[in-house]
Amino acid sequence: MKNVARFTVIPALLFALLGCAELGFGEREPGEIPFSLTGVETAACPMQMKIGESKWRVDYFGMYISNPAIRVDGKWHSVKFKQTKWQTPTSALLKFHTLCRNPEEGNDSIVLDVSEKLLKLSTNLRFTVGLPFDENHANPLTQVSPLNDSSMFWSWQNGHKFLRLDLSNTADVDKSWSYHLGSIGCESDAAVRSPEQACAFTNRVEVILPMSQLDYDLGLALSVPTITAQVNLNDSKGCMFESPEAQPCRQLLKNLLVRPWLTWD
Amino acid sequence: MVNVGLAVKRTVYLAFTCLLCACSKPPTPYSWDLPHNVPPPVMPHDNPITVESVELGKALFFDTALSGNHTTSCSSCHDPALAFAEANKVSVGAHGDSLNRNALALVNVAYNATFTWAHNGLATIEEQIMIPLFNEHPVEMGVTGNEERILKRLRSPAYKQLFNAAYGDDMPSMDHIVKALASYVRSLTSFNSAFDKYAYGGDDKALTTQQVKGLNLFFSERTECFHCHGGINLTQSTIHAAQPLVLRPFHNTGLYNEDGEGGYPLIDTGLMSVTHNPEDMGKFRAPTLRNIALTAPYMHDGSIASLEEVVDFYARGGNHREMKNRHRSPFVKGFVLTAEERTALVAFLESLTDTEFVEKHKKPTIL
Repeated sequence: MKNVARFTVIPALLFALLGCAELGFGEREPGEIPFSLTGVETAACPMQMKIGESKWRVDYFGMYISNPAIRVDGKWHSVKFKQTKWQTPTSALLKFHTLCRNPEEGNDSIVLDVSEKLLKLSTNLRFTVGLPFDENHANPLTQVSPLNDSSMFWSWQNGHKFLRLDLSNTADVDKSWSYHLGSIGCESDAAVRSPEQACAFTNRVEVILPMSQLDYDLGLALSVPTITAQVNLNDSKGCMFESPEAQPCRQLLKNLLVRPWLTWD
Repeated sequence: MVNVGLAVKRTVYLAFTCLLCACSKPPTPYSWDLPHNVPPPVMPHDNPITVESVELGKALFFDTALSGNHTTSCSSCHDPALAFAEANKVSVGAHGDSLNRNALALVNVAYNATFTWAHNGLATIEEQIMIPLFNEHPVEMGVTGNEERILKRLRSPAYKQLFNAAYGDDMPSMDHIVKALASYVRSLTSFNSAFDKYAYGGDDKALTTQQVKGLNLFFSERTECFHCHGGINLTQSTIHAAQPLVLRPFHNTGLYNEDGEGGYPLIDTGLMSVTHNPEDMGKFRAPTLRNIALTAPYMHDGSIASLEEVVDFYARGGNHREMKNRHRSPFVKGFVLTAEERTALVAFLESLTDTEFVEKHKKPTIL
């Protein structure tokens, strides 16, 4: 019995070690793209960011991205995410604020289900900040992870928040600021029209990034202060899209569209 | 001995079969106890109402275990003694946050064409229930992030039995909680007021002479009340099996006029806050007037204390009549009533109270 156990345990251990050696501790798996936050003190827990003279605690920062695609030889090819608790084949949830305290409750990378070879051939990476209409509006309680994460439910809008950034002033805990982005003005009776027309503001943001054969394994740098650029956090409670065309919503959405908030690291 | 062994085997087999039968017993279809003139409501395909789901929903509705901090139940804001409305101007959530609006009565909600005071994006009660459960700005029930804690509280033998009977699974889930709550709320039908007995039951003595006078005023072009509060549920925003057409009328009554253009306070612009269409400024759903005498204070923000004052509000054609208001409903045009007529109209509104409904839906003992 002892020998049997030894013969079973040792190869298993070797296999495990080899497995680790192949991936390397901390090394990424094929198709993985890590995100790192910039402009934020990630060493602090909870994370903090300094804007002007004020320090703000990051109480929540997360976002859904979906519909990844890569461009090879000038043509776009839809690709899938590897299915994990953070990803369905079409959608992924990034969640940063929990990483320092409970790393298993946070996620700072996406994993594409593509070969290294194909990734090396890609000249662009494209994805959408937000969820596709069907996933956004299906019953969230019966959806698979990460679409069933209630902290991203946006029940008032009968959907999900696509991006959620909640901050509170470190000097004044009662002063909080929130940015919740998602589709709004969506009518329920969509049978008579196509789904996309059913929302007054879809509020999805498409991101296209260049890729090159040499730098296919880079990570992405996400600048939180760029998302809030030119918005005085002391002036308002933020933007939860009560008035999409009023400030600061207008500026915040503009930042996502025109400012380099997401770049290769 | 052989025969005894066989008898024991048969007994065990029978007992086992019975047990299996008990386990797989399907839920009992819910029987609507409706008067002949009232068609059944339209039901969602994915949540058929059953006796067992209503029973589970009822237990959950009154249980503070359903809030994150174990302090608040649905009935904290929807008091059955007040036709499931509340006496506060606006509701207060589990963390003490004030909401913008007065809790609506839960009366014939199964017939609602739309939900909440002003929303055209919620197709079912199930979708509406997600708001008080999961809302974080402000926190209402405070379920978000506390799901596991709440589900653990609902693993008592009594709840396990209720969940199993309703859904064939004794493990509670948020989806089954929402579905059961929706079933219970759908079961809260009220069609047995003195007005019903008079109008549909043919009982001439059900209303007093004064109430009949008020009824005639209510259904007159003079007051225009019935245009928005008509039909079997005394609200235009009604859908039922015999009339599946979705009518979703919302009206600006002229309660506010902040800018001389009919603008409402930014804290609550009604339907516009959902559609973001400027034409929807200050538009709200006309609620049912059934049991209305029990549901004071009135209007979306509880800003009018009594029925008499509501009648006065409509008699003067809404507030700030002297200012321009392009959003105000053309039916809110004002009218003149004598003191006697005013009293009669209020007496009619009081005849819409269904005492049997209030008696039937008293707060139960918590599991």
